[in-house]
Amino acid sequence: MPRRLSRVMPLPLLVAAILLVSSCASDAPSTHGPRQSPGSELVRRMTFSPLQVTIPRVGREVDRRVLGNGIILYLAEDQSLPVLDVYAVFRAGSLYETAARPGVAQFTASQLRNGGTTRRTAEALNEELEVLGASIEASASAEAISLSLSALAKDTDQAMELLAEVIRQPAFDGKPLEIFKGRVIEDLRRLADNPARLLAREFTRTLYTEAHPLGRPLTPAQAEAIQAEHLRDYYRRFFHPNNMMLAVVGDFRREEMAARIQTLFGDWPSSPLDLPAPPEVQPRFERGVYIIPRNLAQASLALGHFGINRFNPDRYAIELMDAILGGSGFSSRIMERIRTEEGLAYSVGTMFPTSTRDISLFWATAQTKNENVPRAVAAILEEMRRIQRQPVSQDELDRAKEALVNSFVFRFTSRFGIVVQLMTQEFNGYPADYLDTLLDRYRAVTVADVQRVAGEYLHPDASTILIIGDPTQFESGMRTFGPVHRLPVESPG
Amino acid sequence: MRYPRHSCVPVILLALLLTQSRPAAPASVPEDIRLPFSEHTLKNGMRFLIVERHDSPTFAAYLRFQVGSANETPGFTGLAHLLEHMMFKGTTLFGTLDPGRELPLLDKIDALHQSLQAEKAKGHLPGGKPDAAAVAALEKETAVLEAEAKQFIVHNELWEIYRRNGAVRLNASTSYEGTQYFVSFPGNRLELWALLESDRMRNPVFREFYTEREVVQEERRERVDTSPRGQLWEAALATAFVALPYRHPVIGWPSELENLTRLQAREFFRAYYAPNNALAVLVGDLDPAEVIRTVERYFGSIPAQPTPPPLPREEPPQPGERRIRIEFPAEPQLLMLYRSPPIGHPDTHALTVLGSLLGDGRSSRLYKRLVEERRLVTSVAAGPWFLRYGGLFLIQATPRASHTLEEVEAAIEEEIRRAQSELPTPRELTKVRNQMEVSVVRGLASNGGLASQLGEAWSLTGDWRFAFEERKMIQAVTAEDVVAAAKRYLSPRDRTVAWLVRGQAPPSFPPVGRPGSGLQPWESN
Repeated sequence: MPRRLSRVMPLPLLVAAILLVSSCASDAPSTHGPRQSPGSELVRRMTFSPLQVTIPRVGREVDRRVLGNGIILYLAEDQSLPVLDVYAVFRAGSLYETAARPGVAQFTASQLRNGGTTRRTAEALNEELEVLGASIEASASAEAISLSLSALAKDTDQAMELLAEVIRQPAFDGKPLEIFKGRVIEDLRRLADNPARLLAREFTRTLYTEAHPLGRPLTPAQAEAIQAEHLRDYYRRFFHPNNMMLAVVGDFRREEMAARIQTLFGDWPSSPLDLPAPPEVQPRFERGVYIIPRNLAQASLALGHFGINRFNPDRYAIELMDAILGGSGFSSRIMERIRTEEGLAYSVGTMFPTSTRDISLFWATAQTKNENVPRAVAAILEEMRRIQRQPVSQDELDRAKEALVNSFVFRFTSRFGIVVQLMTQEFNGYPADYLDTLLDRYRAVTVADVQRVAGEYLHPDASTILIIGDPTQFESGMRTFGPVHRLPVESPG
Repeated sequence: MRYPRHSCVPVILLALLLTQSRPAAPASVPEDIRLPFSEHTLKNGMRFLIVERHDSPTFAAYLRFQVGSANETPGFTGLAHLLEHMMFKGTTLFGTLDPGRELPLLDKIDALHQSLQAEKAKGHLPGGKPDAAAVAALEKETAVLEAEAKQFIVHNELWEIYRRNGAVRLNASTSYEGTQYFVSFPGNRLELWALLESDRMRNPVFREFYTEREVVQEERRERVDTSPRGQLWEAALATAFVALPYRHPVIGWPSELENLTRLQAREFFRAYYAPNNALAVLVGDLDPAEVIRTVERYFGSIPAQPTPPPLPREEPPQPGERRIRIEFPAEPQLLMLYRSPPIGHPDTHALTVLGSLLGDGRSSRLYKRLVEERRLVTSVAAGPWFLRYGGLFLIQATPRASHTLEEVEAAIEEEIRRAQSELPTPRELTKVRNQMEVSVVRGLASNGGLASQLGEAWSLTGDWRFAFEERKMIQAVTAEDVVAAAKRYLSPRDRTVAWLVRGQAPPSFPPVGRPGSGLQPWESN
């Protein structure tokens, strides 16, 4: 049940901050910037004993092997708790959906877990897992369908058998599919109840457009039309051992587990894969203001444009630039200005994803009183222009780097987390020494690099601005930011 | 005055006996999990619990003051939470370039805000009216002084020092009965943690108070005023409790929140942020002896103070069912709150088991019946919530169109009647017990998670061991206990039923002639 708490920092931003901060490592003593408080001198004088951070490696902490049928298996023993954790991933996902059939990846993931198997009904599977206190969950993202299993170590055999059954023998029964469909359709009807969700969907749709799978959110009619046969087709296309990676971590003996996996998955025949290149994003940059009228006490706004994909060598400089601009909570300029100094918002910040396969979106978001929308938008754009126009200070850049370096150790606090990271690196096509060289890549970024990537990858004058709120209080003030369009308010039907 | 106390208590956390589960695999008993716990109390009464664990060179810290919105008095709601925000604003050491010149300005700004609020408050008197010219003059003068004070401010310095030193999971939260400050830090930075936290216990400066008050009003708009769930919860709790302070939202009522002053925050801080009202749990790559030396040095000289005595707190018997209907531009939702006993009461364990039977997982009774069989709802949750002076058993459901709230409520009642008349099966009980055990094991996984569990248990019950022992008591619950608890507590006359139905949001502007803002019924998440 929900715990009733209020926090100093909104959670979504906090999570984003942690993800970013934990992107990286060693141990420089603290120094402080030019604005000196009496306390900063105390901190500067503190010394810290060196921290032993071992960067995990395949072949040392983690074992990687390839089964005869192509399954790439990552294995690690972990005796710290009597548990088992498994993560399986297939290259599939919404990027591979056709315009005619959006949602099929999400539905396939759901019905792998909830649609029963050829050996037992969905109900029997639920009962069997829950009596063990175990869980299997499946989900779809843009480029993967993944499954996770968590169980107590003593139930390893039974839990692994259930996972293999879910992966290899799904039934895609009709009744669970109808239940899921009903839930999805109801959830779509309710999407507008949550301004943040509506904002994310409409911002993404506006930028990617129909031309790209990421710009085609599911409609109730499309959900209604999905049949079990579509899921079976999708499954047959992507679910082959030679399209699978598997991470298994827990309180077991490694060779025993390898043998068990061979028994459960070894006789699954491989098959030629048909993985077409997903459509490329064609980034366009143009000014535009879009308003979804809603009569609420606060407006939600998003402002941004196309970004980069994970193969862009500028990604490290971009991450540091974004940390300084708006991506690192209270340490960033946009938070300092809009929240700390002007008191305009509780939640405000930017994100610049750098690890997606296709071009991502850079965007800033804020939630503020309707009448303050133009002021908040102007402040965000000004900060974008300022980081383009003036070099950041060496101190600001050093601080952002230190945060990455000093928090690097938190990437490696759990063995399962380590294994999933290493496997994901391979999935993403990163080099094997990615983690070993990562900190050096951040360290190499200069003040001039930050200014260069700000100039190249930020587009304050060609940004899309989307606002959900009461237009009577801000619409006239928005014309200076571009042509204003109203988007229809959806009725939940 | 307490004396320093230090004991090293090796505790066997759990015998992970997942027995009685015939259908579940044969029980191979895993080894017990042993963790070394050290408890230490400073002379000033501040308590520390240290859990040594060397899996990674990091540690988590959880610092809790035993004060929350339940300590607020009418007229000042939201103060505990606003104070939590202010604790990030620095001290006489941090966040300032020159405290000697800055602090007198802050006092002057306070005086101006007092005059401003007094002028505006004239509008609340019969026939009274604020003098617009006086208000404008005061606002202008305040702005000048605030600009002057701003020159001395180093914004967000505490946060920035934490972050550049590698902190993650840095945040704080306020609940009804506690305010907690937590962070995970590299293992070599214990002393920095002690410096920063002891300094803000000793010398906080609530600079930028009036701007932060605006921020919290935006937080309220985000969590409550624009959120159907926030609306529903705030109104439902304000209805379910009449005497207990859980009836007012943690974030505060708008008209009170927007008038809180820095002076009130300082008074509240003085009353409740005393070392004898604080506890800290540190979990991770630590040497207990070194921790004790460090905290003695940094926290030991903060003076103890008398804390306000606890107020008598008891909810009168409920004379009958309460029902409310919230109108908001959103799809319908249902919330049912049954009065339950406070934390530590012997019946709480059976209610926990009942919550799990009804609402935990896809094989739970409410999920099977309402989501899968009858397809009335898209989600349903059930479970107890125990606080120091009282508790609630909650059931929350999201109807699927075009099923009505009446239908959903009737279907839930049917399951409640079943729970009151049929014994749970042995398999159901096994399932609940195993799920509880798993949650204990998984709860040990992260330093931060373990630190907050221990800290919360310690604060609410006086004994951190409660975090583990509660599970043993839950394991002892019988089928008969569950039926008895369902009969005793899930009775219609002891409940509050809250419906959210589609309608207009309450007006966001105050009525004419009422300076300050809304007297409308607002909400919390």
